[in-house]
Amino acid sequence: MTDEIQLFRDARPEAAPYDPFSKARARARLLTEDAPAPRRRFRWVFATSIATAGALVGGLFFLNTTEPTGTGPETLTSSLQPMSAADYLEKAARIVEQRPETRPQPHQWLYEKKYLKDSDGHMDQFHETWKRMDGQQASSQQDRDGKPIIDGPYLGRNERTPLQKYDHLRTLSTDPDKLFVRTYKKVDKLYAERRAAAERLTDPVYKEMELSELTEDGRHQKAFHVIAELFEGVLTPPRLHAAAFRAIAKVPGVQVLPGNTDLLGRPVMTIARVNEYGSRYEYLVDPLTYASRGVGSVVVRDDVGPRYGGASRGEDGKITPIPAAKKTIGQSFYEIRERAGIVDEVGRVPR
Amino acid sequence: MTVPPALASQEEDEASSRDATLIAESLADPERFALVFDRHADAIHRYVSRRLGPDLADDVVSDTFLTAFRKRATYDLSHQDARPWLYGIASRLIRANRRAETRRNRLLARSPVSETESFDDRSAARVTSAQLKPRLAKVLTTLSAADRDLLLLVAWADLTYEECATALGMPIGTVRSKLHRVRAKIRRAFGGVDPTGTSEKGTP
Repeated sequence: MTDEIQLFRDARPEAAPYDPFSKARARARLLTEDAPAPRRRFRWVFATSIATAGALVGGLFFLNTTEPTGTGPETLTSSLQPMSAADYLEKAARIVEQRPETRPQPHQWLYEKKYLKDSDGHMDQFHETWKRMDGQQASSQQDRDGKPIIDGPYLGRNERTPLQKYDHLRTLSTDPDKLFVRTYKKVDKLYAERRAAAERLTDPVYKEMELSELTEDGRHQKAFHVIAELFEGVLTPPRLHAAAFRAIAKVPGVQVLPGNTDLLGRPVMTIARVNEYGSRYEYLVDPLTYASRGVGSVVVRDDVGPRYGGASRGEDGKITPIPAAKKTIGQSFYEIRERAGIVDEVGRVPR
Repeated sequence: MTVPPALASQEEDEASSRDATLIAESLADPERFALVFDRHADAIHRYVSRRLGPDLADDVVSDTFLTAFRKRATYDLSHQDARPWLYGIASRLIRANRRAETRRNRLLARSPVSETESFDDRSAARVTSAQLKPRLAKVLTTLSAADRDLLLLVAWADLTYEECATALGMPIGTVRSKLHRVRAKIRRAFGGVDPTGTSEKGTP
């Protein structure tokens, strides 16, 4: 008879290709430890230092600076005039929510041209994609004549199409208080699961390492990303966009840096939060329309508390934790959205 | 024996690019670990994507390599190939998403069998497997997480028994006996008959 295992081997499901953005981010995340944000969902960012958290928790700052985003720590130290980020985001929310809502059509295409760059020189490239809203076709390459090469269905079985994602976002509450509470509920549930898993570890060193990552600052950082992901991208209904701006303003430590420029030299407003390891995570938006202009992270402090970077096993089998490698100030990874929008045909770009 | 310079340099290149070497070097120079990522990320992604679907796969693969990176100092450098270690980490992270995996398998189990498969284009075995896909997906939902990990590391990640032992941290004898039991479970799930229909009895 056919071997039972061979049967499973022959029947293995199709594997979706590795999305180049996600792959680039996963790689960059290694090189900057916790740098890039995820494609679809927030990555866990764990933290240890209570000292830095103390400086951030409860503080909302409006940082008035003209330093380019991602160029280094100066963005936090030069000509700062603390103002209320909540007030600024409220103003932005009032503008955003006035925008008429237009549900994209299934035959339309989601266009994005992104610029990926890290400070270490591993990544420096543009990437252009068209994805049909119904998930049936996509294109990320062009032939010799510059015509897009169209691929077939590009989604996995359980993956939402862009249109389904949009419709899902429309079901979310547009009450900022509810959004905020729901976000923290979700974060706390994940934290509880993570803590329970850490408690089950038998090795005391690994257990300590895992538990030390579950800090209050990490909890707020997670909430920051969960909310920011709602307006990161093209497909955010206006009322949800406004609610997300209002809700994120309530997260302790959130900053707004209004006078930055992105890596393409365009003015951007940056909604950011520095985690307790000294990495500032940034969500860039257009300062006039508040549409997403990309995401990034940059190391802004190198004087934060120690963090575990792993553990070494001695000849006697004893496991000893080792500190994480020191990050360099200015080390960064950015994914800038040069242009994005909904178009009627593949190959077209939005105005 | 004198080794010709060209060969010597080739061997040097191979040695320097072995996973264990890269991991050892990455302790002093963390960026060397990126080469381990470049080498294995696609394969690990394919495996995780098959088990959890593409949406979760991106996160799990990223977490797999970050976990590996953080624990690289404990890597057993006698293992030149890091695949079993990476698959082991991925397996543990997949378990953390077992609900999603179960949902995916239930969904696959409900999928209608394609009737457009051409017998001319594929071998008989593959056609049989294609027809069995939903049933196999259903069988996966009945296996324990440990059994599922082992079965799929062999079937979908193409690991050897020895590599599975390394990945899952168990003796190779346990791998063999567990797989024997998994085979029996599969046959029982098919009512004690050969699921391929090529023999009437399910005994190996």
